[in-house]
Amino acid sequence: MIVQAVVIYYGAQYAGFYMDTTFAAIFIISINTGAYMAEIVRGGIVSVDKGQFEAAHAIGMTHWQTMVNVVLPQAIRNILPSVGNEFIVNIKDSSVLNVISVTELFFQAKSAAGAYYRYFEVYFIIAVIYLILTLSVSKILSIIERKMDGPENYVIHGSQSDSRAEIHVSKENEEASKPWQA
Amino acid sequence: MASVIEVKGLKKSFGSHEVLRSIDFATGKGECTCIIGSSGSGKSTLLRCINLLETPDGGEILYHGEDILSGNVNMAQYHARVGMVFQQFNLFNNMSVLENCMTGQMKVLKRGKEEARANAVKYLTKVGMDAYINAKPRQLSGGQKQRVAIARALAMDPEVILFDEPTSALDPEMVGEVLNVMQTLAQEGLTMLVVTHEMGFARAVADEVVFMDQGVICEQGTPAEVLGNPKSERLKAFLASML
Repeated sequence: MIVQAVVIYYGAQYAGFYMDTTFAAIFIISINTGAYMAEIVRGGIVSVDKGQFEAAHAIGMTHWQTMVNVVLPQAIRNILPSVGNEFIVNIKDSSVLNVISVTELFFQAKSAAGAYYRYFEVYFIIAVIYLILTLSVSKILSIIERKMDGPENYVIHGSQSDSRAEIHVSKENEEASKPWQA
Repeated sequence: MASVIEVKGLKKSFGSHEVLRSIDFATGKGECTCIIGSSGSGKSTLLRCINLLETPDGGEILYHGEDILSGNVNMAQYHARVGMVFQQFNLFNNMSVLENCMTGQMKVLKRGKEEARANAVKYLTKVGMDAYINAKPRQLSGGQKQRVAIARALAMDPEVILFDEPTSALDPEMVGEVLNVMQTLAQEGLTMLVVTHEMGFARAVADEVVFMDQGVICEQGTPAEVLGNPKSERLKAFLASML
């Protein structure tokens, strides 16, 4: 990412295009993460059982409907941990962008430490800030994960027995209802 | 009697392996046809070809006399009229039981939410799963899942349902509950095409039994003829091994 940042940022300057550093930072992180993310999403879609596609096609859904309603919701749930990982890596990797003089957290810390000659205190503080940032991301993702999984338990409507069912599967009159076991 | 589904000279190969070698058979309205045969004889492939999950290499599949391979038939409508129940259930894991039965109706048949819900609950009640409408598939037992899968197929109000070994992944007790449901459906006059290893079910419920071996239909006829009085050596050996 350091190389990418330098090549893109100074390369653009050679081409006569001067980027704002914040814009450059977002642009470079997007490109860098985009490649990893695309692979993660692809893996998520591939990991969805083939039977899910077949079942959706068998009830007449188009490819697009299958993707939107059946496959992607499952794929997204499956890739959430990796996506969270990627976000956290992103937050921490943003510090390498000081090579193109983006004034991010690490760059600021270096300046502050240099100005006051207090290295440990400054870096300890930014360590805590990084920790808070990454912890919040992982917490938010675990909340989303739990939300997507839905409740652990489910409500049974009516009685547990299937007395209302037209087709009984109860133990009574088992002999009579299973001629194929004779 | 006019046949609902008619298969003529159907061929399918995977690489150099010929799985189906010229299959001909027809199933009439309200008939329950059981397809039996050993593993690898092409039963499942035949069913998957009829539902176009596999593309046949040759032959014709006629649905009410129209060749569905010709490209003139609306595939979504065909799939809606011909339901399928899988060995591995294949319920949509991201949806509740109720949503599983509603989504096809809403997306494919463009039914309203209320209508789809009422219809879904009707069929879930029929298979005795209406109490579980909020459950996710992973919270259900195999037999319950398969009953929901049958309700999902029924909710589309299909004309034909294809069952691909619906009880093979279930324990003996659950087999009973699923076969109960299927027997009731057969008695109600639903056209069914069942690939099964349950000879008892075939004997009791089927109107016609088809025995397949090595990609061809060896024998077909009523259960009494085929199961009671097998003619070919192959079928005799197969039936003997089932006992």
